[in-house]
Amino acid sequence: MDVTLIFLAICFLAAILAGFLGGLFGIGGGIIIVPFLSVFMGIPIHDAIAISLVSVIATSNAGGSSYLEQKITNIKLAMYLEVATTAGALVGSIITLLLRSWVLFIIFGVLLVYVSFTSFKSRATDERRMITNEFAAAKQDGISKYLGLTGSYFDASKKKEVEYRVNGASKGALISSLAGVTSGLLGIGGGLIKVAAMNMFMNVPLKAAVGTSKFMIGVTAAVGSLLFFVTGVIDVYILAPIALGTTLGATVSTMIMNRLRSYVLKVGFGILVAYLAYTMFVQGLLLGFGIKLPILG
Amino acid sequence: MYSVLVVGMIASSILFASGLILFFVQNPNPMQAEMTHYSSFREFVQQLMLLRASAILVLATIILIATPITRVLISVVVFAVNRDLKFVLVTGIVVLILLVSMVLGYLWNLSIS
Repeated sequence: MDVTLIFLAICFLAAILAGFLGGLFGIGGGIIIVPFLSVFMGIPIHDAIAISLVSVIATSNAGGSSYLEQKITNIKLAMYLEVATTAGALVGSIITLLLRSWVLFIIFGVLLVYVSFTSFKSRATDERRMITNEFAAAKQDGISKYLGLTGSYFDASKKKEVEYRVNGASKGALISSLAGVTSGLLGIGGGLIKVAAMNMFMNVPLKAAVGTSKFMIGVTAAVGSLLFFVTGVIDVYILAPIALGTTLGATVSTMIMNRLRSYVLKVGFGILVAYLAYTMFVQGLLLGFGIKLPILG
Repeated sequence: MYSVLVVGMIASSILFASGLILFFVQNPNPMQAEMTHYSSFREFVQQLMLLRASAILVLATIILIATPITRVLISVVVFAVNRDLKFVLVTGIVVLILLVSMVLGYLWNLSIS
């Protein structure tokens, strides 16, 4: 691979954007970096996935530490769900060997369409539930209660402390383990699905879900990265500007996320999920039926 | 935990940036990137001592990948110090799964190569 200053500069700029969006929505930015590197820069898809996965760690370090400092991250919730995602990644890689992958892509596509739709529909509910105090008044299930999964953060756009009690621990764990499966399949951290699981099924306010997801995705990505590293398929020359860019982008966006309204974040989140759902269908239809849909971006 | 993430982030960023700068200093007409495979750990350290750009970038990658793993290990210790046994167990399971998947992945890589 030829390394030129212009090539690296383009990678750096694209990575800033990926890191920025990743910080806002609690995701690693793999859904942006993989198509950018493979479609626009002509890098083989496997190399692109490896680079993207390592860069997810960079944005998780930057964003995760920032949200920790702002006390938005729920560390205990993160630890609990990490069990589910890492186990999911492990089980997922075994399932992947047994099931035809196009079936998985279609299943995830359908799941994500639902998540995207619900995200648009529920764009105002976070703020409404803050006012009616539903986050704090929810009844906890056995696991959440046993582990003491509650939390609070200061919402900078509403200028008030938001308390919440986690519920739906088993449902959330199931969906997070699915996030682990996608991580193994596609080289993404699965952040979108983790945020959705926490916000929609576990009674966690969106911003707390974003902060907690950002903290978690580095661990999920570290496992895969380590394997890529051992086998020596990581191109460190391309990784360097990408990692620097995502670190910078995530640092900036984590500083402004808390000041945005949940409403705005939810709509943006819904659009990103819809895009991810589309790419899943693209892959599924291509692998299953040889139908080629255009890739956006 | 916070300081692990910040130190990891700053250290790898500085190394990535200086590695790239060194690369362009060492290769005024960069065409082909030099290889980043080392036959032994000693060779890697030697290259590092010589401040080869490629070795510095590899070191940055190692620090980056090690950061979240170190964070998990440290949280086991933190929960143990706080006598939060439930979470020592929860985090311990995460460590175990990480180990199992690394071993399985390594074996799988051996079997296909």
